[in-house]
Amino acid sequence: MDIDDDSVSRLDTALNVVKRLLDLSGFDATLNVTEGDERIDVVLGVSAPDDIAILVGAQGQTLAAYQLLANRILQRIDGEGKPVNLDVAGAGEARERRLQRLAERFAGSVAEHGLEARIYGMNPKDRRSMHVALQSMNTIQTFSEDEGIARRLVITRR
Amino acid sequence: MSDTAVPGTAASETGIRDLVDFIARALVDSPEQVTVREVKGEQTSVLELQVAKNDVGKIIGKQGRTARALRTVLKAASTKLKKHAHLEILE
Repeated sequence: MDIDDDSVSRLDTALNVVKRLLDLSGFDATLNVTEGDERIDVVLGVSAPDDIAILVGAQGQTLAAYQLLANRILQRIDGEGKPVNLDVAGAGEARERRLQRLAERFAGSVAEHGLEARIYGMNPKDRRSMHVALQSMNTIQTFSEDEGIARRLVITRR
Repeated sequence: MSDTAVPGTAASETGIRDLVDFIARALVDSPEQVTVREVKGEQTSVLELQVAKNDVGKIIGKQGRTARALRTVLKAASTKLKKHAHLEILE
């Protein structure tokens, strides 16, 4: 499809741009799109767990980079309009599982050696995942302390 | 010359070059003046991107955001395609 064609909707143009970027990067992704009032949401489906990690990147910065470029390109083809928002299907769940495994490793170490573990630099959602993951362990307990950016999760032996 | 593919090289090797080429052409006012030259090393390829003088700013973006995004995406593609590539923006 010609992406300069006037008859093509912004939605189609957006999908073409995103698809092209991913294809050229070697990702075989499915695109699930919903158009809202403010933006076009595109959820990318990739089957390999490794691909999810590569596409999302550390702190989501790779996905943010694809999104920024897609929007710059879209803007030049189609002018100002609804921006594209990119998400990867299953990325949140994968992150949660990773955090849970990490939490269990910390907790195991605390239970064994009796030292306290303090885990810094997590956002509220990540902290919550860890609390929930460790709730059922009766050898340790978890709480959060301090406020703002210094807020951390603490694991102690019960 | 910038477009010559070396016979026998995997499609994936030109994939990264094509990615940079597509993005650069889509961002500039003079796409016909975009060239991407792939200088192959043993481990790492260097992609030399050249655009019209007036377009350099569009590739770099405010505070270098576009260039940074371009390098981030290039890194993801390199990881996926199991290649190492480095982007040089020639001015």
